[in-house]
Amino acid sequence: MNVEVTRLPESRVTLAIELTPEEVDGALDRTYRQLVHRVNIPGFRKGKAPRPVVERMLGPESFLHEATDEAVRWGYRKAIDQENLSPIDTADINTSGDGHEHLHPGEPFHFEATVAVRPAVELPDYHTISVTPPAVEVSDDDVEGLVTELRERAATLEPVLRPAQLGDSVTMNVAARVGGEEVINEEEADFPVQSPEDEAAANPVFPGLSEEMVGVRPGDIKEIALPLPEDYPREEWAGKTMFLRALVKEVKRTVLPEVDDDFVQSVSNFETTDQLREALRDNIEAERQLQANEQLVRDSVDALTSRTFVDIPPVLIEEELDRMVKDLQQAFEQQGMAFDLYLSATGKTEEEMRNELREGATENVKQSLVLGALADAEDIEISNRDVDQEIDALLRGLRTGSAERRRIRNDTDIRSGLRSRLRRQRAVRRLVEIASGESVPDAATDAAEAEAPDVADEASEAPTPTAAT
Amino acid sequence: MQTYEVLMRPVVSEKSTDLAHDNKYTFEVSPRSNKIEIRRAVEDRYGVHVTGVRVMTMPAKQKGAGFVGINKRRRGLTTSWKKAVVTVAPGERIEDFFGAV
Repeated sequence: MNVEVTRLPESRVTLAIELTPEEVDGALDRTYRQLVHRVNIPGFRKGKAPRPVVERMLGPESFLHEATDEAVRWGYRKAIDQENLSPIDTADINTSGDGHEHLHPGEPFHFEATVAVRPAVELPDYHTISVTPPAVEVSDDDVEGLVTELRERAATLEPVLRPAQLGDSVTMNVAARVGGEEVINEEEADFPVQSPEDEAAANPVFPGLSEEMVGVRPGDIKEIALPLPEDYPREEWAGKTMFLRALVKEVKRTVLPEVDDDFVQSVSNFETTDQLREALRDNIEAERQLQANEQLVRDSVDALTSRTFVDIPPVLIEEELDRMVKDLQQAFEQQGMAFDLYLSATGKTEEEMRNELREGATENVKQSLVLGALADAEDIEISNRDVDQEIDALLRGLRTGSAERRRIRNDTDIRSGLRSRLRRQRAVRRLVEIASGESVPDAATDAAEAEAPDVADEASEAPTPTAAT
Repeated sequence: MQTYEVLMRPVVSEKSTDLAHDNKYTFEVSPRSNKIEIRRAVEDRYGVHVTGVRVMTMPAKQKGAGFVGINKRRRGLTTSWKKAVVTVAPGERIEDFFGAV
């Protein structure tokens, strides 16, 4: 067999394959042996007819056609093997290159196969990549901020006789009309008097009312014309004016509890203020450390991918898009929402959505390929035991029957998927070590990596082509 | 009798295929032909030397649903025919025996 490889852009490859007469005869022979078990020929039991009889029975044309398919399958697979290629989609086969539609016994047979292969990734010198891990700092202000939140949550209200101030709460009987229609009529309603910023953040029912209420005293009656904004959440009221009449019953002051051991014991399981502050500090630090780790992983991976050029075949991107769209669909259906409905609500076609997602998909594919290449370069191998442990870890805490567990443990698809995921995870970890001199726990690498699809290791079982005659 | 009148068609079956490996070729021949005419016809058509001819009459068989009907009523018969197994001299063979159906 003679194979000539021509590399095309987008990681496609054309194989010009020439089979020797002996290989052609081999294909004919295999074809006969396959067919003889399928065809019924009078005078013979199944599988017993000699080859000339079978050929005549089927007609030489269709026999040669079958043999051509067989020769192409065989030659293609062998060429892929010989050239060490990893196809990622179905090959386009052209058998009529030299004018022969199909093979002829005793003559060499020539055909061409064009297929996208797993792209070669030329890694840059990644040992020079250097990423500074984000600093993790917790200031006293951060801690005090949390303490204040705790105090505000535990705040009590205390009636006062002075005019209302910001931060107070006003109890009042209130009636409101919009466009001549009574919309609210409530007694003893509590209304927090907030600064304009706080009020805006709280998405108020009566925007601007806080301002009007500053300075009221118990017993006051206020009549207020409140213009509602154009973007008011209740559309039928938007832009109209609300007429309010309020009888102030009480003005209450917000009292924040003192930070002492009693307060600490009432809001937490800690005994002393120092213990509480320390615990809060630890919490903040742990959370920021987690974010910092994820940031570090992202930065390292970005540094590597941005320095690597990969000529990504479109099939991979389309497959990743399929996957992303399917995930979206599932996400919507889990929330009991039809995906079509979402599409029509946003006025987008699926095609438009795919186009929007394409950039992200390309990035995902590239990242997966680059990390796969890094794992190769670093000789990262995942043993069966590692995979077993990972499966056990994933199943832990889930209520799965033992038969189901066994099935999962033996499912080759699941295993190879996990294996490549673990492999990329380790690659990420190694990369981070190289780039920053620090090691990060697995969880962080998982977060950065979860998006990446399984392209790098998928190629082992290539789809087989049939002749395009 | 002429060659084409004697040799009606080769018999292609599992059994005749096995026999062909022993240089014995099976034909359906005219019921009116004899061994001498068969020998002459095979030597004439295939250019081989014949060392032996065996002939037999293949019996007619009853056909139709159930083979033997109620009241032994006959359902019909297939035609009986004459079969010849011709032995060819060692080293010689009939080239396109299976192609000549």
